[in-house]
Amino acid sequence: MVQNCSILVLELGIGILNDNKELILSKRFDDPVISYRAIKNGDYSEILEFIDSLRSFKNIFSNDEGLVFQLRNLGLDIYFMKEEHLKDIIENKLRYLILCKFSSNESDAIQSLRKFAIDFSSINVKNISQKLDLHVIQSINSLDELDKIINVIGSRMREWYGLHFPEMDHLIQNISTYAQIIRIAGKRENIVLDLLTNLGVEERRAEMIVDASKRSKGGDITDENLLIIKKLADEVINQTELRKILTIHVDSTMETIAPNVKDLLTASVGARIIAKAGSINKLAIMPASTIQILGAEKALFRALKTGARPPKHGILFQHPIIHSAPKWQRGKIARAVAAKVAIAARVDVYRNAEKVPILLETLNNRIMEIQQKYKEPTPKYIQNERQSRDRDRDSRPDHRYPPRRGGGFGSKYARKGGKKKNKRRFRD
Amino acid sequence: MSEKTFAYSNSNDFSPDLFIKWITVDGERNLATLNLVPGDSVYGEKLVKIDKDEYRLWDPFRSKLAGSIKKGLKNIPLKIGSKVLYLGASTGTTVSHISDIVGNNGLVFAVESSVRVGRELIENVASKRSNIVPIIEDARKPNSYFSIFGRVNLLYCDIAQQDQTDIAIENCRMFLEDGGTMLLVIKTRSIDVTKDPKKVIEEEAQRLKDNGFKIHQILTLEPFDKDHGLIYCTFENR
Ligand SMILES: C[S@@+](CC[C@H](N)C(=O)[O-])C[C@H]1O[C@@H](n2cnc3c(N)ncnc32)[C@H](O)[C@@H]1O
Repeated sequence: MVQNCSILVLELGIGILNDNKELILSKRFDDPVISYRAIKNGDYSEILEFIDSLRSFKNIFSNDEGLVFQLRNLGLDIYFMKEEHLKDIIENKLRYLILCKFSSNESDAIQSLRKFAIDFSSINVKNISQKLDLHVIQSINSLDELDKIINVIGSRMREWYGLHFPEMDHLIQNISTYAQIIRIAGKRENIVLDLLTNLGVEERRAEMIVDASKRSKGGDITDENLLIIKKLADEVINQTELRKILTIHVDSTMETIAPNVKDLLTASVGARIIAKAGSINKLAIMPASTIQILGAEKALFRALKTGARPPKHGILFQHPIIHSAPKWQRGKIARAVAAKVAIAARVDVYRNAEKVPILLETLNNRIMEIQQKYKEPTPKYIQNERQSRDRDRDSRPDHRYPPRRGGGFGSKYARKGGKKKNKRRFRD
Repeated sequence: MSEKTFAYSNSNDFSPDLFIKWITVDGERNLATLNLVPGDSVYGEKLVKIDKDEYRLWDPFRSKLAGSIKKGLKNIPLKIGSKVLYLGASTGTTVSHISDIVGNNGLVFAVESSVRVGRELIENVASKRSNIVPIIEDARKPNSYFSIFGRVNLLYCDIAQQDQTDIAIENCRMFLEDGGTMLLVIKTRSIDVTKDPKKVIEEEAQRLKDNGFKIHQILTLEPFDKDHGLIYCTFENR
């Protein structure tokens, strides 16, 4: 007699029952979380070994939609279970688990289900977080781009409005405040004390600005031109607003996916390190020495090619503690930071981002040690400086511009540093 | 379980076989639950020893269920061995006290959709308390819950969503026993900012009635919580 059967996909394994709800056969998952997940994602390899024995049944029912879809493609007469049957499985799940021989009794079944829930949820939390790191990379990149945009539009706005009120340029540094003044006041004669102090400008400075507006050497401005400048100001204000949102977003995402890396590096430098690595997982398998010079690849290749000194730090240079340190300490501090970041990234990935405050503590101790031990420039540092200066002098005829060297290419601060050096080299 | 009235100030309201008590500390009466994991404080709440038992003070400003009890919730539909489905578990503040009350023979299925808080829920609460089953899923998709089984005695819903009532009803249909209790926290502001909060709650209550629920009590939670109300109802007609 040809019978029907049901394939039950349960948390702990797969069971096949006949119409009388008797067990035909069952397979317990070796690793329930992995197998259950695979099936939910339409991977039916767990059931492959049953397929031939299934062909003898008339109709087959399953409680898993994905499985139904996959097996139907293999030519089986398989259907998604009726609602009442699905409910029955949830309601009597413990009994089914025992029937399929996955558990020996109810309390055993409950404990297995709970363990499954904790493992499965932990993986969920981790997997979604893994995708979040790709989002944080986008966020930090757009943050950097926004900075450029704000800078470009802001400079244009300053220069243009400067035709009308040149004296304000050096009195207001903050680009967003500058934009808001234009936005609210328009022409310079409308700039009054209250307006400025409401925007957070210091009282004394505000007085200076109002004063300057009365004696300005700037020319008149037509309404048409002013309107366009105001639009530029709007743009600066909007982008600055977006920048704020992004900053907060990067901060909170980093707290979720990589709290330990964030602790050591700050959210933005941490996000840039992840961006350079490609993902938090890739960061977690990097040796500290690679992390130390992430973002200084160009300098590294040049060093390999020309025999110049290898870079001491890449993105890490943006870390306040490194770029504020005296030059001869930077390499040492960068190495200490990189070593801890390597550990932090592993904790963030493999231990579900559990917070380990001791990392920051030991790092701070190590940095203090370095600061004390190397108060004065080391002889090696002095010698190296001298040598590289000589080398630069020797190589100058070959280059129109002296080669950039030293750490931190690809990073804002580092480029600044590089340029300064170039200037100085021209001088001496 | 018998219907009892828990007034704000009565002292012997809880039957002694419950794992919840009023405890007076420094002249102030506090709710407290018998700690399932002695020595462990979940969110910084005080631990108090009474004879050999350790109790955790239950802060009505931190937990809306504690606030509701203090405001005179007629019945605490929880006892030793109860099964609970909790939607919007967050980091587990309230869940942990429910876990205390239902004890090792009870179960709390704790659904939370945010991975961020979900992680804390698992690490700080669920992994330490053997009666909590964490389900990191969207309450809008009860079909995708794993590890859940049977029917629960109480469904507690506090997810602060526009469509929270519909979500709660859908979950009750799948998992709440006939005649079982639902406690629905209504965030009066999130549904409609312009409406009078009292009216917001009443409209949600009406929707519950239309779906086979019997309303037993409606509470607002001031002074513990400004923007929330709670509906206590039972599921009578499936
Ligand atoms: C107000 S908090 C709950 C606080 C918690 N009941 C307590 O007292 O400790 C609301 C929670 O619901 C969660 N939530 C929101 N929408 C959800 C959904 N669709 N499914 C599951 N949880 C949701 C939020 O992530 C948040 O953690």
